[in-house]
Amino acid sequence: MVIRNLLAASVFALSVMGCQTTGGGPAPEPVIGSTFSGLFTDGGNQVPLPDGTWTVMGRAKSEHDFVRYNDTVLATEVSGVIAQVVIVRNAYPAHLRSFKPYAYCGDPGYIHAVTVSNEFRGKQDCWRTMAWQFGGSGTPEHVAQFLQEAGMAAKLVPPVMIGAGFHIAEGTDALDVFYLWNPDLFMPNPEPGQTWGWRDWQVGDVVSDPRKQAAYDILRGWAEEWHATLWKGFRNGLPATGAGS
Amino acid sequence: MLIRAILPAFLIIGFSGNALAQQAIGTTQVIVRTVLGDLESAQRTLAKADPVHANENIITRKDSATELRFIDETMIKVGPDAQVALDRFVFDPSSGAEQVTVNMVKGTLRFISGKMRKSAYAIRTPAATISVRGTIFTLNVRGDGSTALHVEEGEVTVEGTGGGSVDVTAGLATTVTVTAAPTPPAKPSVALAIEVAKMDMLAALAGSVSSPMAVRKAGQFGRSLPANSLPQKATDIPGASCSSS
Repeated sequence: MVIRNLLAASVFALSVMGCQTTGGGPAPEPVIGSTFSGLFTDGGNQVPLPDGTWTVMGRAKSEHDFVRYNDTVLATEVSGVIAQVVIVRNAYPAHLRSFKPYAYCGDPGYIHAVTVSNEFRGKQDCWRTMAWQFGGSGTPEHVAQFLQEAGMAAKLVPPVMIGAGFHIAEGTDALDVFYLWNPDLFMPNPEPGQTWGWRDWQVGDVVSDPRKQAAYDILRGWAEEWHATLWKGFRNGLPATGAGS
Repeated sequence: MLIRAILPAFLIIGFSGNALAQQAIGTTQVIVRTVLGDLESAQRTLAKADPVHANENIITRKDSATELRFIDETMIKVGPDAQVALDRFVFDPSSGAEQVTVNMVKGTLRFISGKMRKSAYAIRTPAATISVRGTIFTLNVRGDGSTALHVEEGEVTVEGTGGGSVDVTAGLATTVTVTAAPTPPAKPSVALAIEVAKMDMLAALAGSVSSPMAVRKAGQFGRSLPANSLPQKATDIPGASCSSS
């Protein structure tokens, strides 16, 4: 199996190909510190959230290559340690554009990668289980803001989290969402006094560790189910009260 | 006094039939997919924050998990395809009456003892009776009743149904069958570690952590992120993939 630099993949994955022919209308802006349960709505898209109270800890707007982005980072914490993170990217067009196929659909460098569709100017639908490295150069603005917010609030952010990333696009709309969990909190490093680092969750390490493989298999099953829920939200088909886990 | 105030509240939570006649001994903290409560032949599907009762069987389906917190703050996490009977629960601080008997029929479980004196706890499997000495431990019961146990914190005594007993301290494990005595303490098996990883990852999807020990370790030994985790300009994010058609 090809071992890729998942950090680079993670950052690149943020460059979702959202291209619309009309601008996104103004919507209530989620602000830093606001909390959500069950459902996060931004840019006309509903994003289902796993169980818990989620706080907006990063928020940024940007525009490049004729696309405007609304980026949000939500997180939960347990006793001062960041437990779960959801990174959302909504895209709006600045000019008429069309979608290129999404580069990370079907990338063999992930533990699991599923591509349902990856059409030029058409439906794009893929997801993968993955590790995400926090910090380092090239950190996107909203993620960096999350790190700063966490730092100011004395919340510990792990250097690596694992989870699943989804890319969906249809017609004139696109959405990328990454769901991440802190492995130190559900599978502590067995070495005394050690927590997990980025190198511990590279693909080669995962496939050689049955425990990590088992965790990823659970993530794959979850992502397969969650994928359908995410699509419902993408089409605003989730009940306003929230989405189940 | 607090417990006396809470108990009536449990009793008026909306559930019907035989469960009404039973006293709640705790609540579900985490529900992943399908978890059933079987009480006096009446079966119900459990939701988050539902009460659970003495003499109730808790059954988890495939890819499902739950976490229960009892009124004395004992916690048990139950993995997929498991069945655990809450055989006996007595907790009356005013009279000093304390007893918990949990019967793990099959599957994976993590036990975190609560406020009762340690001698009040007994965890039974087809192959063993486990006495607690202040502890966190995981166990897996297979279809033939054989039981693998790993002590994460504290110490337990494992008495085999077929004879023999062994004291197991933190970091060590034992295996016992219905006919053979518990094995001498040793490192936990990979098979047990995989089952525990599955349980913990499933529960993490609903916001659960593996144990308080994991939170303490993450907080104590978690590494600070690199200092170069500074905000980048939005244009530093790799470009979006829109074509100019």
